[in-house]
Amino acid sequence: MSDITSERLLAFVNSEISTSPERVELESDLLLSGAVDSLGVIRITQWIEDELSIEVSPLDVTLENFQTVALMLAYIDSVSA
Amino acid sequence: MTVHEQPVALRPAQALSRTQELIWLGERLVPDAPIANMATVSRFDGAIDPARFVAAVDQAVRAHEALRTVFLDVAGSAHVKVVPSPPTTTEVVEIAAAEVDGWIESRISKPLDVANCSYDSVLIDSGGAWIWLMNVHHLVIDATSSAIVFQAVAAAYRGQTTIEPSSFAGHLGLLQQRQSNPRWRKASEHWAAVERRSRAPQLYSSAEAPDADASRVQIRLSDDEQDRLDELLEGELRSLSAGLGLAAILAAATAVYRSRLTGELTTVFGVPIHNRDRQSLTVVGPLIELFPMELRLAPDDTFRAVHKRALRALFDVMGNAQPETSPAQSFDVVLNVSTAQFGMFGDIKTRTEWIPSGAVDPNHGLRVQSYDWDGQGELQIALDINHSVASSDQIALAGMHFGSVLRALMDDLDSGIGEFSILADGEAEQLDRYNETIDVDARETTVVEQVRTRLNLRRDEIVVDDGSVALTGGEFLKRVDGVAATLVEARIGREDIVGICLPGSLDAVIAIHAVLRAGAAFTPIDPSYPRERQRHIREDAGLALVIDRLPDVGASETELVFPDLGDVAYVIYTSGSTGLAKGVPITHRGLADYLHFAGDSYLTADASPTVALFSSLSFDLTITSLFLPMLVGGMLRVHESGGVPALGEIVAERQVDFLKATPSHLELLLRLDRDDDGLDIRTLIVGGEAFTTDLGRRLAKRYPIAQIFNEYGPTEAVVGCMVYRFADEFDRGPAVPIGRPAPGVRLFVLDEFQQLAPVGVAGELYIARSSMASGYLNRPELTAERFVQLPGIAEGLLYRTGDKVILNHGEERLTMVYLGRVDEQIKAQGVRLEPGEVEAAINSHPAIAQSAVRLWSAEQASTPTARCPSCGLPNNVPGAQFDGDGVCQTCRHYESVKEQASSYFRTVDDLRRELDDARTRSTGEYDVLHLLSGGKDSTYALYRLVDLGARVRTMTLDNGFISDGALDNVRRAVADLGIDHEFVTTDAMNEIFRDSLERFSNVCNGCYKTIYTLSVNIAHELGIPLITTGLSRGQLFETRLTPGQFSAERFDPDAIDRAVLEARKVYHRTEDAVSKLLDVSLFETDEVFDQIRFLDFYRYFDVELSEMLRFLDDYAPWIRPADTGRSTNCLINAAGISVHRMEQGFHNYAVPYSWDVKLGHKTRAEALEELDDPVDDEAVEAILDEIGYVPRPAAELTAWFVQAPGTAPVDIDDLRQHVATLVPAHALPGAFVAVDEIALSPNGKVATGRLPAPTKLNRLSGQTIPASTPVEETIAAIWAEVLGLEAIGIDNDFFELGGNSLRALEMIVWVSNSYELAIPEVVAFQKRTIRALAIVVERLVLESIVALDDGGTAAELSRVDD
Repeated sequence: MSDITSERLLAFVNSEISTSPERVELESDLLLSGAVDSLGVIRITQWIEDELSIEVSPLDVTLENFQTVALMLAYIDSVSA
Repeated sequence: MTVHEQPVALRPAQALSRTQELIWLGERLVPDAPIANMATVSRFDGAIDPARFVAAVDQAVRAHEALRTVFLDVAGSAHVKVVPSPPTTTEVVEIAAAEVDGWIESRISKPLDVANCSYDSVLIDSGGAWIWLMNVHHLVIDATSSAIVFQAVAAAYRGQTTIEPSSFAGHLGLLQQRQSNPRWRKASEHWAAVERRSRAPQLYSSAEAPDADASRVQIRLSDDEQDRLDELLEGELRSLSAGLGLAAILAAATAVYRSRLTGELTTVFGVPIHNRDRQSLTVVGPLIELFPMELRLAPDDTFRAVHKRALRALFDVMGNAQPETSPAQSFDVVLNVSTAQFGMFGDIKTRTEWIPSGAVDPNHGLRVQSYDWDGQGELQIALDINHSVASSDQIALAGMHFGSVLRALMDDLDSGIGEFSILADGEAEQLDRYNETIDVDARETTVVEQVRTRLNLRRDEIVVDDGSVALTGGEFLKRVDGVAATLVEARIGREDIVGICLPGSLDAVIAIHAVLRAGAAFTPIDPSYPRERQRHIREDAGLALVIDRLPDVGASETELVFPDLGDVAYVIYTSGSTGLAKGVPITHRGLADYLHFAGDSYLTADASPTVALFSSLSFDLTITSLFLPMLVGGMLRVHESGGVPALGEIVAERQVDFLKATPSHLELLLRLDRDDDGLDIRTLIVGGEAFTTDLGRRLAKRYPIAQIFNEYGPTEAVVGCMVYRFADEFDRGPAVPIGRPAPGVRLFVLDEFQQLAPVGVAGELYIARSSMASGYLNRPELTAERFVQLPGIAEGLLYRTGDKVILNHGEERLTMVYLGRVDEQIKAQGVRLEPGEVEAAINSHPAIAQSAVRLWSAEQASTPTARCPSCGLPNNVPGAQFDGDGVCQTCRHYESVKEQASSYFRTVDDLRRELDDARTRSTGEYDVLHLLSGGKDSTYALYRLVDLGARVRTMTLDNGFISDGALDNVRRAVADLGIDHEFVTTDAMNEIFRDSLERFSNVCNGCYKTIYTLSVNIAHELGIPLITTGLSRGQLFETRLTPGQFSAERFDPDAIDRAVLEARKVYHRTEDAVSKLLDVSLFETDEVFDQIRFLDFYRYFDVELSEMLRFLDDYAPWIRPADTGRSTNCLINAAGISVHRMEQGFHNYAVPYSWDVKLGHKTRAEALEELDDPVDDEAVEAILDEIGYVPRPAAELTAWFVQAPGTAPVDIDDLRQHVATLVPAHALPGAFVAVDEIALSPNGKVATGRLPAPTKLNRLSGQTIPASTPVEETIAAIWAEVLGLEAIGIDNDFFELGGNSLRALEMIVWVSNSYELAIPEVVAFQKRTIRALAIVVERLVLESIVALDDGGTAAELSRVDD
């Protein structure tokens, strides 16, 4: 996973998705903290599909894969591999 | 009133959000219903200080601007205003605990007055328990906002002095900036491309009209079920959040639920998206937006597959949802899984509930809701059901049915969506009780033996009479035995089938009884059937013999045996879907069962009815009359003439007291039986067609002593298997029910998945009767399809009827109602037929490769596929013709006659002379009555008339739908000029609109006629001799002139004027709503037409559009409507356009606009854009409801065919003759349309929507007699030209072929010129066929020759108008 992807994703989550006043980092818990709700996660999946040309299966959209930006990047890696 | 003017757009002072607009419009539809009330009730688990609480609410209201926003209704549009301080304060009331719920319910049942205050806050002290009711209008709030307000009040109550403020208007402003964001643009485009869906069918039978009333039903899950749901949400069906997981489950369950009730496999949900991000997290306002989500099912889906698809669909919606991008559409199903949480009120535990107001947006038939507002972790599931999709007493059942689906899903995700029963507790038992009938006695003897036993007791009584021959029981048996013996001698016996090819005569009755007596079965062959069909029956049934006349009988000693109950008694042929009629064999047991039931149901034991035999023997309805009188003490009166003549005999003789007939025949009977006393009919059995309550009532009134029965039964299930006794005092539905099963019959209403449908839900009828047919002759595949085994429903065979029925609660018991056919089978002229049979007949013609037969309705044709490149005339206008370049014939004509046409127009000097003449003829204060609509044309004309010195009075018809802008223009103009003006109106307007829609499928004709009628009355009263109109030149071409007139060599404007005058007389004397409701006495004599003349201003005055607008800008207080390019200042117009499209298949402005383009008053692009304007269906529906009109798309049996390659062009008449020999008359298509190919839909069915519309020519009757004399030929050629048709028969009516008064005038001018005659225009209205017109022409030609011989100069005209 390139650093560029990681930076773009973080920038997107911070600017358009997160509702938390604190900056989201790679390991910040997004869902349980309430910074991102399910609508936000799905907007993230849409972003991944549009920007990275990866198809995200609805069944993959789970806490395990989307709880933190780091987990998302791991998921992106596993799917693009 | 002209159609060429612009509407006035009323713009709100401040734009509403999309959600607000929908709410605003929804509320306009049902202004008295509280559909936008969002009420929450918070019950505090602790004491509240009322003063502190009231102040806290006020503080929250100050912080959140939305709560201080009010909405003023300015002519239907919302003007938004923010008030500085709380517009109301919290009321504190004391209410006894027992009364709280009722009090709240009543408090929120009225709509909030958003013009003054958008919320209602009440603190209730209920014996020390504190309750807060907060009812807020949806225009300013959504669920999340409610929670924000709740927390704001809690914070203020705790003493927090600064509450974070929010402004919804500010939020909308921020969103504006978002519009350059590519994701927002992408979302916008995504939703713009989503198709608009129409309203789905209702779920349950319902007597209630669509309105806002709704009820909520909670889906109650047992503890085990709740555990199972939690288990799924945390395990197999786990998603990001419990809410999302539940949303997917509910979406799947809802789609399955709907498909089981309606058969619809596609559900489009409205899904609310909260649309909040960091900037808008704490904004109070209606941020929520509904986005469409489509979920499709396949019949063999498992729940797991549906769930997966639902999750994908939810993700698609959520991924594409961006604020203010939702498409403006209405939804009949809404799926709302609310995530809003209220939580605690500071440190006071609180339980907050959302209270339904008893009303929902009437568009939302079904709302599936889930919420967990107090954050207790328990998700509640509820359905809000509009009473238009389920009546109030079906709502609880609906909850149980939905629960059945949810349980089936939870039980086994891998089970099929059609594999479970949806029935609620007790419903299966209820359906069983419906099928409980008295036991049928085992029939021990055949009808042959029963008839013999009975007639032996009546050897000397007359038992059959055909009007000339009457036979006693003994004589009848003797004749029957004689013929039977002859048959047996000819080796006819058991297992043989004998054709009876005779009309319904005494001989036929004897022959039928004789065939049975000989042990054989009979097959009726109607001698009027086409020969091919007769041949098919003979071959298919393998007839041993066909009796077409009764054999001579000698003395015989041949011994006769009786048939067995299991032997076939008759084989009747019915229409078949595979192209050929199919034989249905019925055994003696079936025949005996049915007749036993019929005798018990229709007659008393000692009855001696006189029964008419007059219907076709090949119709199984006739079986009843053929046998029943012989089984009781009755007499069969045979009417060999059959049909209408037979009904005439029945009426004349007044003998018959037992009649079985179709509704069509009974309609005729009512018309024939006109004596003061009706026939003494005691028993009337109606069968064969849908029986309406209306007919039932008229029959009951005419035949008061008659018992009227509605008997239902397909041939396959033996004549009749269910019956209903009509009861005038109870039956109020449109159709007379078909009732309850005959003894031994069980009836099942099944859904698409062959599962039992609940009571009140439509499905297909399946019949179980032990003695019914077990299949078709020689048709194993068809037999397997229609005679099915469904062990889950019943043992043994079930006959699948293809009839759509519903079980309803009748007076006391369940009663079945017939709704129509489920498959493509068509009823043409009341008789059921299969398109396949007709198609097979067409395809058997050697020159035909392929064909499709459908009922064609104008609705299908409303989209044009090509338009004239010059004027934009669309090709779906009937009669429009285009040349090789696609240019329309009218344009071609017009080009060549442009110059000549100008001679119709006059000069300003001519106008001055007309005005001077009016001055001298005036007997009052005014010269002119000007019809002022408020549009640019009539306003400009008014200014010019005043400039020319005319003493003008103006009149405007206020039809109730004129836009305010147009009315303002009228008021300003007349004030500016200081002239006398009158708004006229009439109470009859709605009835006139209705009548106009009925006659012309538009509203304008009725409106124009009202204007003309009222204006002539006013002019007459005030002594005004001249009425001026502002019809544009385009309209003049459309209504006064046709290009053909110019093609004739001697164009004569005076002839046109004379014709227009004649047409006016006919017009005003036509009987319609206007003539009935308004005073038209003036028009009785010709005098008024001379006294009061009409003048079209723009015939005298030519002005460029730009010049006209400049003049109005500079000199008149006329305000150009803001929304340019739209066509009308009359709001009812949309309804007219919509109805015209639906009923006539094309836009009623297509022709006038093409003239506007030709004359340069509009560009082609402008005209097309206007014609393609979408019509607001809901607004149209509301208008049509208001005036009480139901559109009726016309339907006609139509055949489309593709010619076989390499064959000579098909002669349509030849094809028609060919088909007529193969199919019964009712199945002969009315129109035959040649096409290059028959388009198919993706799943291989004929794409009905893509079949081209039949034209008038395609509909010409088969008896087209071509012109034969030279005069007829000349006239036929002229008609063909004028009407745009070919090959017109000499007996076709000009007006039925699509002619109108203008075309008639054109035609007469042409004919006149051809023979150098001056034929009065009125002849066209009197001699409406080529044959009749030719006779007049020949006589005139003859007379003109005689006149010349006599030295005269011309024919005398006035003598031809007889």
